[in-house]
Amino acid sequence: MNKKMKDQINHKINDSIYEKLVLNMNEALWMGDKNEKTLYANPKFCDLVELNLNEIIGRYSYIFWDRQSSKKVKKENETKRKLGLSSSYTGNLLSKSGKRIPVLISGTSLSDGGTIGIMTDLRELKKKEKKIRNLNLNLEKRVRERTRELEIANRELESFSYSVSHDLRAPLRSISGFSSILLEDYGSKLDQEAQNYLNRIFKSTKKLESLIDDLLSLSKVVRSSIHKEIINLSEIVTSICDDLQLRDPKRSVQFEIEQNIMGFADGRLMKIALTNLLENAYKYTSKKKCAHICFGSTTKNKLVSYFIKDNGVGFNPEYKEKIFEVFCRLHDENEFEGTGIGLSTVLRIIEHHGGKIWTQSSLNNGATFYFTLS
Amino acid sequence: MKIILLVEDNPNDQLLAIKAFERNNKEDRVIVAKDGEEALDLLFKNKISPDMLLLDLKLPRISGFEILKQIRDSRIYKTLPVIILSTSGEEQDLLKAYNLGCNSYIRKPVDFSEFITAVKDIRDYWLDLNEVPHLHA
Repeated sequence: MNKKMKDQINHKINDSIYEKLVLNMNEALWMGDKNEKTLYANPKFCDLVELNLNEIIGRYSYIFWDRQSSKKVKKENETKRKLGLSSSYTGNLLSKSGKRIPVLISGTSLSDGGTIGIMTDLRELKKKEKKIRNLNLNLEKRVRERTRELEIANRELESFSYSVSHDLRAPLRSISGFSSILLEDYGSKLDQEAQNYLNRIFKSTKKLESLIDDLLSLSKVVRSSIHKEIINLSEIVTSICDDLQLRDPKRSVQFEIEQNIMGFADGRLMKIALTNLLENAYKYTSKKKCAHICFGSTTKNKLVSYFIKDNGVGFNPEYKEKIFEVFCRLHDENEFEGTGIGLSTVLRIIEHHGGKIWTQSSLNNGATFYFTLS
Repeated sequence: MKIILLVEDNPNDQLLAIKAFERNNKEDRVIVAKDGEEALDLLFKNKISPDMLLLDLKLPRISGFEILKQIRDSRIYKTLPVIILSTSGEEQDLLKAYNLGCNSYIRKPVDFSEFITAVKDIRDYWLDLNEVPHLHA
């Protein structure tokens, strides 16, 4: 086959490919001369504007657009096409019956000064966009409704725990008050057994009071909003340790506090968490001659962990997860007093900060509580 | 002898307060008003002129806050020492009470000996002073 024959075949193939492409493409194609007069438009374009090819040929391109798009097309032609630049933008084709059809226009200039525009019908896309927008609006509405419901539930819970803590206190005050009046004013008339019973009543009221206070504190922590800022955790720990030392000046406890440990956290909540952890350390070292409580930090993989370590009685590591559950106690009530709510409160505070808490311990070998803040 | 008006609806709390005052000073006379209406009647109709008012916040119909407001708005009781005696330890209640002009705020303790100490403290401070500090002068 000679070169001429090859060229002819190629030409034919190319022509027929282009023709098929232009006639069958899903995009509308429009071609015009340098004066924007129509030279050709493909069937898809004719469909969109609801005109046949004869009605289109020779007409200025601007008549196929709504007023705003017409201005846009003109501007694009004058600025970009004159310089031989291509560009994409959106506009609305105007059909014979007056329908506005949103399209994406890709315009290119030709070497003879003419232009080609390919228009993609955006109606389906717009429809879907509208559907998504409506879905989003509905979703926002539903979120707002749910938030409101949650707020109401939260408020109810708040007033419930407020009432519980207050209304439970009143009878408790009476039981405690009158049993101590009985003991003080009539103690001499009661035998030892009767006095013992009264003492038990009195002690139980103390226990119930701590329970109510701790539960109230826990429920407040769960509900409270968080205000994070950079705080000096060492200062908070020092002030808590000072208070602990005042509580029982006879006890000898060695506090080792690493200075200027900073954290990005809610100061008020962290004080509650650190108080609970340090009170625990203080309590569970009470049987040690040389009690030692330490606060510090370590860094691993750029993540800072804070820790409180003691040399107290520790606990069986089997219970290291369970220990954070509400009302969980690992020691005998007579040995170490407590409500079993403190560590649950700490867990909630740390989780509220997006942090983690874990512990290392073995029986009679002290305990270390580690936590992160993010 | 000092006259203390106690506004308290709970009969057990009334008795405990009376006992706490007895423990501190047998001379004191504690008059009990069981609600706000009775308290306001005693103060403004019977004009009993107490030396100190002990006021619970959660009362039927007229709250302790309302009573406190009326007392501070009146001419005769502007400087009367008012001690709030409430179960609530909520910060907003404390702030509201102090903003309305109470002189002290005691959270009712469960432990009776703590209550006796609290009563002694407020009694020593507000009743044994030669001059009661003027509020809202």
